[in-house]
Amino acid sequence: MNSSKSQTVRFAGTKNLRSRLILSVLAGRTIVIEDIRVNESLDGGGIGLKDYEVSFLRLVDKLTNGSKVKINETGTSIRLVPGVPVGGEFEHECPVGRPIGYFVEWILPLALFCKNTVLIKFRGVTNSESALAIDSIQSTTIPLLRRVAGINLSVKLVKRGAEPGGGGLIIFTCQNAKSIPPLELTDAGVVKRIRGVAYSTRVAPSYTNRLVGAARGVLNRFTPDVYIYTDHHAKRTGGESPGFGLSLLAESTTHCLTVADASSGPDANDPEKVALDACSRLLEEIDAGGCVDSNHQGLVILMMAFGQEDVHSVRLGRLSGFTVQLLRDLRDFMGVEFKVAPERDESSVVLSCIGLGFSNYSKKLS
Amino acid sequence: MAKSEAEGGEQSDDKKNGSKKDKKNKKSGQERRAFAKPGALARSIKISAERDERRAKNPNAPVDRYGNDAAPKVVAVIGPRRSGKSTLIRSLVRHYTRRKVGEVLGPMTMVSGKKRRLTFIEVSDDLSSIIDAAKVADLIVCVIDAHYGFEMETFEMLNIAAAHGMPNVMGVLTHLDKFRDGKQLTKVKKRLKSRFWAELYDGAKLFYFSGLTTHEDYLSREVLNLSRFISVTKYKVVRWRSEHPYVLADRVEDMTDPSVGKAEDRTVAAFGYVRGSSLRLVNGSWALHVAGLGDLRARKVDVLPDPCPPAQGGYDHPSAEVKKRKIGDKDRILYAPMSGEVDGIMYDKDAVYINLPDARFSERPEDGNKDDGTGDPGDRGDREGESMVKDLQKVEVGMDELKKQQQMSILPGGVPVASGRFFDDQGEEDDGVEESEEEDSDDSQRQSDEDEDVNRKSSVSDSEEEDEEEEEEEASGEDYAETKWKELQLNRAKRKQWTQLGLARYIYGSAATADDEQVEENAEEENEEDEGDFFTKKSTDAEVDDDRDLSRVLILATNWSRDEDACSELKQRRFATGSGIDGDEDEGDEVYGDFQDVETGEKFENGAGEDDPEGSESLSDLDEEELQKRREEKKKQFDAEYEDMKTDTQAKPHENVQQVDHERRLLNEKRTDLLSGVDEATRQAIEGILPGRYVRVELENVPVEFIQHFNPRYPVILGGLQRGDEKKMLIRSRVKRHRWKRGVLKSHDPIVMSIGWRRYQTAPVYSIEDPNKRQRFLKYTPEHMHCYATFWGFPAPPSTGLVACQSLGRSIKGFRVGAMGTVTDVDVQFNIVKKLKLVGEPFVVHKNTAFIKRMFNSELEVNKFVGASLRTVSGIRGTIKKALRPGASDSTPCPPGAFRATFEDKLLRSDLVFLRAWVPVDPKEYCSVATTLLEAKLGTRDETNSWRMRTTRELREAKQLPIPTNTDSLYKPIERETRRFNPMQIPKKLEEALPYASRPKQMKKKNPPKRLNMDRAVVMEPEERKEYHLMQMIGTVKNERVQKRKVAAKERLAKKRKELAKEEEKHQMGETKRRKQRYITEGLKQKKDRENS
Repeated sequence: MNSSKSQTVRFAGTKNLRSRLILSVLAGRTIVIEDIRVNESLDGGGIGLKDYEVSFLRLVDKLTNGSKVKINETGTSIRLVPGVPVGGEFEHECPVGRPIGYFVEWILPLALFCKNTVLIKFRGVTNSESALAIDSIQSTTIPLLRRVAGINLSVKLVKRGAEPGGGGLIIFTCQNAKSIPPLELTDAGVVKRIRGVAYSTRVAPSYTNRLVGAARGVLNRFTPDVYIYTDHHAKRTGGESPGFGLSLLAESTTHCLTVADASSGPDANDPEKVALDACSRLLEEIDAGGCVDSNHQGLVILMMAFGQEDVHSVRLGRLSGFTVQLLRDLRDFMGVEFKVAPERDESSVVLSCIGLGFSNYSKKLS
Repeated sequence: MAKSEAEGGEQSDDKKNGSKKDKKNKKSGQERRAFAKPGALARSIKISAERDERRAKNPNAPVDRYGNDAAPKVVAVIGPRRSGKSTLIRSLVRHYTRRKVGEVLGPMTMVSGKKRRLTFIEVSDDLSSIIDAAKVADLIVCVIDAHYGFEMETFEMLNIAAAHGMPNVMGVLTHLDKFRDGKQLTKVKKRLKSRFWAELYDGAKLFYFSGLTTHEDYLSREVLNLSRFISVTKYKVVRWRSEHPYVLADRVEDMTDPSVGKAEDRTVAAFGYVRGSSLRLVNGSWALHVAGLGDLRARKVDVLPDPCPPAQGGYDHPSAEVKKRKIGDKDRILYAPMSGEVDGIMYDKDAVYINLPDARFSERPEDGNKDDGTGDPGDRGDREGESMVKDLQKVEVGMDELKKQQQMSILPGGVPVASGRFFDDQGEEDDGVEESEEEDSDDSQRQSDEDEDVNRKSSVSDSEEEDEEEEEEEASGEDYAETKWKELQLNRAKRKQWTQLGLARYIYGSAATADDEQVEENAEEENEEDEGDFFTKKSTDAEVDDDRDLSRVLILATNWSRDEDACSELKQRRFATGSGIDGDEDEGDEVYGDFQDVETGEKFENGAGEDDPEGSESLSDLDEEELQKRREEKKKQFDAEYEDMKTDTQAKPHENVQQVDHERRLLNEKRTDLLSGVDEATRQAIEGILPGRYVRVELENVPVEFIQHFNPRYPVILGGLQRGDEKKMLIRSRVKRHRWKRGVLKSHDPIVMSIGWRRYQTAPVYSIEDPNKRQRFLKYTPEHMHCYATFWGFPAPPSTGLVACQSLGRSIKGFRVGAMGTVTDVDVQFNIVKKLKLVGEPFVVHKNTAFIKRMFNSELEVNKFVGASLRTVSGIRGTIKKALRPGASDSTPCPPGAFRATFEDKLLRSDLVFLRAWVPVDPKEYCSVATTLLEAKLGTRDETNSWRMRTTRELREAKQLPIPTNTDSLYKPIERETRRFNPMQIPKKLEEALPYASRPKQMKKKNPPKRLNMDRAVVMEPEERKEYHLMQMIGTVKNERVQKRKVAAKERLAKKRKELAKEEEKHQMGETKRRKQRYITEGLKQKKDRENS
């Protein structure tokens, strides 16, 4: 009669590591991930878990009560026996290998279902190519979640930190939700305006102007309604290293947000190229269609799966490999299957599901 | 509804009063109304409207997603022994189905209306049965033996039901025919009604069943009344049930392979309707909790045809052919597989005995198509068994032929190969495939699905080609740029289209193990080499991409800075500034569908002219009427959009009931839209098995005792679990000991909790919240107050109700419900503390410093408490400074655990020093699921239940052990030494300085002078002696007199007391009683006299 063994889920490789860990906690199932970078030759970065992955695990552990994490000696396999998500206030130091966006992106669904309000001070890199920039999270992720879950949350940028030194400071707060109301995001509309933030830190403030100019050069051909804010950080709030970048946001007639960003690498010195990258990415996202850009596909899908026991539907553009894997994981973990309805005349796909009727058990009765 | 009918239960009263009323009405001639009390009707409407409003305004109210009539409603008939439960069910069955049942066993489902069905269960007075029934019953019919009065079971049941969501309750008073006296009967009715109302609410429905017919049924009129009330009941939505699926098993079969040993675990199939929410896979398996058995995983769940479909509708016949006005005898189906005898058909252990006295049975011709008017082979006239036999007989194609038509695909996605092809030399392939398509019901589901996919794919590609040709023809007239653009778009579309058709299969299909960053790429690959799974791909860049764990797509397909065509295409398609390619007006309008433009027509005319000259021209051409029409359309569209926007931003309480209902309807419509045109397997994967479906649940690893001791009298409930429900955790709940429970509940004492589907024994720790939010440990539950109970168990969402009982058996006398409460919090750790006072003694006292011993036993212990605050008996405060090493003090030896402490004042050596600390109390990690269904003698209330831990008290009682006493805790006579204080020494100098009054006096006080004549003998004169003698005599006489008087007074007093007591007794007895007694004696006397005379 004891069914604890069948509750364990096994995976191999680091694919979708963050979402899998979060799913494990939300589903309350033990997760074992094996064969993590067993071959050293792949990217020359050594075998086993990376420091930022370990850091993410630590963050999950901090947010929960009673979690047990076991990493083997070589770091090639982990086992997480999840506890109860409790939340609370604490600080978290993010390794410079990944920006803070990497952590915030997937800690969000967990923070939503915590017992207490979450307040985390993240220190580390705020903008990098390897995950969403904080400005993008502020402009898109936060309003999106507010819309989907109907709760209050915020991300405040106190200090900006570029690669490789970091030194940024972010204050992330998130209320908890009881359940996710039925979601319908099927009308993508057309892009009516483009907004953005050009930021720079520890470089000449003119870089931001150059970013804006270059971006306008591309985007004004599409719409005249382009406004890009500039955000320059001086010494005290500027972190450890110089850097600059651009985060662009396209808002549609139906209030759907599409975001894309680009930032300078550790030793880049060409704002025009960065601006062009950001523009290209934004246009690519717009071209793909859908109500949600590729960065947020996974988040929205997860919310839908955990939502109330009614129909949730969303129109997505091109599905990323990450999203596809998440869809499979959701089926394997939770038993939620989505109906995939491709549109013949449009490039987008409508994904719908009936939510699990997930309600926050750990939320306290007042 | 006429009032007289509504009050039908009180029929006998009404009849009496009715005649009087009629007379009155006739007299006045004025009061002729359609309703007896128009005001009452208005009031009841108002009350129900207010209730609905409250429901609407509560955003957290549980919702009924699947409609009221989806599954048969469960009516639990509960009552003590011999109160008439079976008779009541039998009468109701007779009323609904015109059929006769023998013994009432297990759930009985029957059609009660055009769309309604009811399931009746009889619930005995066994506590576990009552608990389980309260969890699934939609309506409780509470049978009360009026002749006996209320019994404890009824109240226990009501309390248990209240904790589990309180379904609707009706009462039935039976055995009223035992009252001979009419007056007595009315009195009893009145008394029982008022008690029943006090327990539930004023106006709770109570029926009076006045007697039995010769068929041992209740009077049909009274049963009819009850059934009418059952049919108009508005069932409550209970949160737990609206969020969890459950099956009340009405049939249980042992499906174990005969080769398996008899003592081994069984495979059991349980049958029943899904109720509550939809039954879905939880964490990848069918997780169920069988109440009284434990958590089980079902191997599979199959949906079966409905054995008791409603007269109209039902999932087998979703669109009822003809709307029926009335339900005929044929539709009045009774489904009671566990009941021993229905209409003369008896299911025995080894055989089925059929007795067919009924003339209704007629033999049918073999062909199902001819037999009845409808011509529908699957008509509900055919039972499951009948249709099966017919199907078996109806063999048209031989087995060998069927075999030939079978097909398989060797590789996934490959063209299926018909098995016939291996035998036929020149078999036409296409035919083979098509034939197999026709027969795909015989194939496995998966096979047929794939088959369909393949076919669909081919057809799509065909149509695409045609489209392309058409497009090209059209395009010839247009300019070059646009043609090129279109081509581009088409190519893109084509590429994507292919991808998306296979997308669902790609995501969820069997080939879903491929690890690629881009779906498209993979899909194309699949296209190129269909049998790609045979070869394992070498690790490439894709794996490096995985390694990055990125959620976005980082591939840029187009160079947006250079590719002008792509840019213009994108602008056309996705930007508000782009004008429609085909001059499509609608699209253009949509783009400017902003409300500023739409609100007024003028604005639109003025503003839109610049961008769309064509549009404005056409607009100016239009006449006023047309324009008006368009405006209205726009307005409608805008309103609709605005509404959508409003619903998107959620989390507001609703305005009224209409809005709630409207939203629910919209959501349900969306659900039907979503699932239309989806095959059954996918549908089940998406939404699970809906309530109302009849399912067969195959349970594995069921303990053999379940089958051995199976008794249909006890309900078998398969409750669906949600994620995380199976993991044990700490639960905190607010509980209150029931005021009728004898004694108190003790912390750490095992107690059986019933929460959600489960019943389990656990050892709670009681606590109470101090004003500073500290949870203070309580040894016992407080009287008449709530407290917190924290215990190990299975998590349940906050605000779930719970009931605690000391045991589920009969070992406890009196009221068995121990406590009731609600879950407030679930966690893995809670902080409950109890106060601990450590006592120490100073052994060296300096000015503000003192060395203290006997508080701790070691240096380590002291170190843990450094900085802790101390307090002496006299109230001097201090802190612990440091542990003393042995030998720290020269004068006195330092025992281990001694420490130095400082105080705000100098201590006395005799002072006691206290340290007040809080120690955590952890609840015992004990949780044992009640396996009452595995017990041999559940019914006989034997207390040998092995799953249960006995309380210490029970064990002591069983083993005849005395209560151990801790001699330290006994009270001893307090012996206090009288303290001797040394005389105060005052320094000489000080003494000199003091004023005289304060100065200690050196000289002793002189004693008063002794009286001189005390010790000397007195020699009296003769005269004196005489006088003295006389006085003595007088005294003696007086003494004698006083003594006599005293004795007399005593006697008098005693007499008086006796009289008073008599008076008191009389008073106690009461005037009426005395009178009654007198009348009786007088009556008897008169009777005697009469007899004598």
